[in-house]
Amino acid sequence: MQGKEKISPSVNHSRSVMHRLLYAGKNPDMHCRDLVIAGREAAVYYADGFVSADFLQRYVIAPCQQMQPTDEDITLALKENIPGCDIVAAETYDEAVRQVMEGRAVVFVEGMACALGVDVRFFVRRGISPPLTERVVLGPHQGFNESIRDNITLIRRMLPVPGCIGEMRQIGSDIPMSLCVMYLEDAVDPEMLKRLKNRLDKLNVPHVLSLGVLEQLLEDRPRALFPQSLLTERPDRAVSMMLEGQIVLLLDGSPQALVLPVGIFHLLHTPDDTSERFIYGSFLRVIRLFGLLCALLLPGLFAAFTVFHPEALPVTLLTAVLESQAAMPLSIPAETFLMLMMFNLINEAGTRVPGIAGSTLGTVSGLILGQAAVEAKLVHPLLIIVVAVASLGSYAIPDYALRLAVRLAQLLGLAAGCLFGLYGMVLFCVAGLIRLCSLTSLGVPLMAPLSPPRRHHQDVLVRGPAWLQRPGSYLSRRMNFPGRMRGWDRRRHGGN
Amino acid sequence: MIRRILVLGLSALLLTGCGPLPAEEHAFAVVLAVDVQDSLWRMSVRMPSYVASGKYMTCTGEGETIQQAAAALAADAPMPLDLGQLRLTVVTERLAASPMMPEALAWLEAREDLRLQAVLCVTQGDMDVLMEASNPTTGSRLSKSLQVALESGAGQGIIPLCTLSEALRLGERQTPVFPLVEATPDGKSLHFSGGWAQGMVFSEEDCRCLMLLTGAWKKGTFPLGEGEITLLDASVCPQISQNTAVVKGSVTAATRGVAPEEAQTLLTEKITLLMMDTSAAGLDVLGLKRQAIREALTAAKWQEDRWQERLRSLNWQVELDFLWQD
Amino acid sequence: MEAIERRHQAESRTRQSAAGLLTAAAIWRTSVWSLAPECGAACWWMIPLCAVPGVLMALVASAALKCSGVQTLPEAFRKMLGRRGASLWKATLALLLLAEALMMMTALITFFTRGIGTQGTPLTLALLSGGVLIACMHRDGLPRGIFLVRWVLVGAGLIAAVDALLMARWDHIFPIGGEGTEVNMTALLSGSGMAWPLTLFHQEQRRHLTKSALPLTLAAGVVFPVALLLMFPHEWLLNLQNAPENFTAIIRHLHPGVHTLCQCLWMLMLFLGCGVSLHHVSELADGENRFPWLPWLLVAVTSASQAADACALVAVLRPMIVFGWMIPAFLLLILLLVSFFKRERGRNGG
Repeated sequence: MQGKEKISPSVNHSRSVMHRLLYAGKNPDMHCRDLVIAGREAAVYYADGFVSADFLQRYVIAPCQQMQPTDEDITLALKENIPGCDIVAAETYDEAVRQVMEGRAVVFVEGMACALGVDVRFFVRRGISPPLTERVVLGPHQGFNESIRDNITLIRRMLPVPGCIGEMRQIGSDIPMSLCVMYLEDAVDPEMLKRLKNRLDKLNVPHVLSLGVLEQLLEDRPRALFPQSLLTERPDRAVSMMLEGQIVLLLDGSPQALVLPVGIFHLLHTPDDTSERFIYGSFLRVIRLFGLLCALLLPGLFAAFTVFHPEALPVTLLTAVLESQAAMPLSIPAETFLMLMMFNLINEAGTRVPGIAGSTLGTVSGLILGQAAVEAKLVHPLLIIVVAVASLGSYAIPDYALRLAVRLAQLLGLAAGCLFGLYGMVLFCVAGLIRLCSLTSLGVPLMAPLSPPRRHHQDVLVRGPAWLQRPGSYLSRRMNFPGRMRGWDRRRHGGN
Repeated sequence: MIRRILVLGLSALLLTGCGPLPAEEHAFAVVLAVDVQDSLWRMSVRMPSYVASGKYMTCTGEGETIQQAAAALAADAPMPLDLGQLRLTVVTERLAASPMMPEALAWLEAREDLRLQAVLCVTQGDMDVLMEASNPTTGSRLSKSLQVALESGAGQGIIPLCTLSEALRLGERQTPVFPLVEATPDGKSLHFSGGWAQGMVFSEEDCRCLMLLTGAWKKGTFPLGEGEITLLDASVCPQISQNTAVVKGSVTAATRGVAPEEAQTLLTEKITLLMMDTSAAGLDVLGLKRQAIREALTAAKWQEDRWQERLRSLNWQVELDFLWQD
Repeated sequence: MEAIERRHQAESRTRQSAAGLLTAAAIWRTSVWSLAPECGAACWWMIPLCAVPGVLMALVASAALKCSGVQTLPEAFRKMLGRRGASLWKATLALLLLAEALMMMTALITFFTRGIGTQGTPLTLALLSGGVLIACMHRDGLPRGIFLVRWVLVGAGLIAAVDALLMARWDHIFPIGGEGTEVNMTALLSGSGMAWPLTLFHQEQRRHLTKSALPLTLAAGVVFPVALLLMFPHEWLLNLQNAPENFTAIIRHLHPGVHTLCQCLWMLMLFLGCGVSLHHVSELADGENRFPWLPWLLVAVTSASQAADACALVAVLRPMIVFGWMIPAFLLLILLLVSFFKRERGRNGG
């Protein structure tokens, strides 16, 4: 209740309230500097580690101490004398506490019925480093960090237009965190934006510590296997999506951006596709798609054909499989499942072990365990190849969430193939496809623009030439861009 | 929630009763042989022995009906028999010439796991000797070895390739000619040479002529008289008109050891004699009935046409244009 | 508004592809199941001929919509024949679609147990199919999924057709008259309704109809079975049973890889055809989605029906489809006449 109380003109009263709200007795990093401002008693509250001592001294305390008594309104006088570029008034003690926790120096003066928060923030934070999970060959090597301010700056530098809107809001009732909703005014679909804001407004959570949690709170179907949004560490990717009319969410403390809405094909695209020539980019996309299909279907198809439909295999291959299989203690389905779980275990262990040891562990484990399993006649060599190709296929998927989804679906496909053979695989594919087609991302079908068909430039399965990439997409409201991009090229199709 | 329970419940229910036999517990036969003697059916299969790589084993079954023989064969096999990888189906001449051949073909077609693309051959020798001689000569796989041998023979024109599927789909419109297969004298491998059709045996030379006339063989060497003809290209089309069958077309060839005119005469005579013999025996090896059937609007009309009499009394003319090259 | 209209058109295209798949599956099923053993060599012209009544139905529906000036058939029935007329139309269509769904499921399970040879009772496999169907019965997801794979299905069918045509012989089209006029007339009667699902295209808004949808559907539906059947001579085709096992017997003669492809294609067509039929039934019965459990009930009924003997089931269902399509055809004719006369009266009166 005291938090909601309006700030008292009495500094003593404010001191006692702030001491209690900030747990100053228990939190040694919550400081209070008593001073005299314009002949009046004053107190400055700040949190150690959130503020720059130098800024505090030079731009808050020193100017305040130098103020002469005045008849002018003290609030105005303070604003005139403090050279800080961002001064916000707090009306209640809650707001004052929030400002202290944001890294402001909050000034209370005797007789002032508010507190002034001066921006002297200086957090210890990680610098701009390359993204950890989204490596590219060409293209920028900057990644987001945990500071929302830095992340907004990175995006604004790539989109230096006033239409790049960044609406700030607080999210979390108990522990509010800063959230920035960024979009391009000319490109975003107002209906989609309204839908997202409505969802954000109706969230009722005590705190949101990461974008992953927010993702689950905002997704259309959070229980579905496949993701309906995209998390990216790359500012250039976030910007390219904003240009297509998508909305980017940044949360303080999360080194990623959450993009909504997305199509399933966005999860297969990388910035390399854009940076490289369209032929190479298209080729790489086809490779990735092939990898995804291998990851999803290969183990199940292998089990289905060897167990249910051996007549469809070439006899040379079949004989090789059966000769080695005759000596194995486990059936092909059991072996396949065992090897898939082993590869997943190696992958997880390699991720958790830090640094270079992690990648070495993965390589060595795979080689040694695979070789040992073959020599111990636990599994046969062809199965190792099948599982390895399937695992490689999953690694080719750029989006981490989609990769995990495919790994889970792989097990379902294996079960379908082992239990019901080719029919099971057919049903698995059909059911999976239909479920995928029924998913939506912020109301937009996940499989758009393929199904249902929507107008879109050539950047879905394969990437068309750069001069055919019109600004906007089926997600945005800006589709018309008259004129030829290669204006210097007099040939009819602009270079085709 | 209810939907999930339903799906899970159904899945749990369905997990019972759908487990198949593992592939390594099937016996995949590569060669199947069928014989009948004195109303006793005999069936044999040749399949890889998974104990020793490159080794093969034979299983046999007998019975008074083909079904009983198949059941006995299945009982003799060490594992459930699977005919899905069959490469060669052999019937003895005895069976092929008997009235029980259609029954054998019907059984083969009805067997759902049987690979219909297996080549159907006839043997004049002993079935057991033949099966023991079914060993790989190329590499360690019998299937590969058979494929190489059959393709080589067909490439030289010395055997016609006729799969079970083709034989079944010929219907009544053509007499199938099956390749002849025998065990080599040392009994260690198979040898394909010549053809067989309803009691008539075709030599390698006869097969070459037949393959030339059906368009299945267009390039290769043809021993003729004292020398040989090297076929470079051929386009031959037999036609029937009333009681005359005319073999028309063009042949591009080169000769060695024999003059072109003589080669032309020899080849023409050979073809004429061969076709007269086959048609006199009632064998429509070129499928001339396919042309005759155009004349009938319905099946009933077609059945009224006395095709067999017409076939046996056909006059044959060969009008091939030869283009000789050096 | 333009964007919303484009979205509706896109969704309509997906539903048209679903209707096209159902039509193609119905044509294939009837051609291979019934027409091939009856007509023999005459199949190559009997199949397109039997598709003609379905095409005529679609044309009558199109003409009726034009005359009545509305966008969809249910609206036309409501406008011209009142609520009862619309209800009658929906009821007959729903019953016919339910029969189609049961036939597709029977064909699927028979093919699965006989053709693939997987161990498991027909009921178990039907419950499996039903379980997966429940997961697939999403109002928007099912047609979108079909729209997405339509070219894959066409491509697979094309590969199979090409393989079959390479093994076909030109004389297999003779004797052109097959077994004679009497037999052909019986076959025409049993196969004449096979393309009736073309009418479902007009359940969509007329302005959203893609012009190429019907011709492409017909092409895909007719070319594939004709190509397959041209592999065989007349006398072989006559030996086929009048049964679902025919497809298995026919595709066995394809090359092994194409055979497997064909198996997958046929399974997909039947499964999706069943799903589309049930999807339409639930939409016809409950357009406002007041009973969300209705699709599951339909799936359960369809799956449970496989507990009955397949032959008995086919014996009951076949006459329903063979003669049942005439009722909606008759209704469409009435609709056309009423629309035409009302329009003429309107013109003369105005």
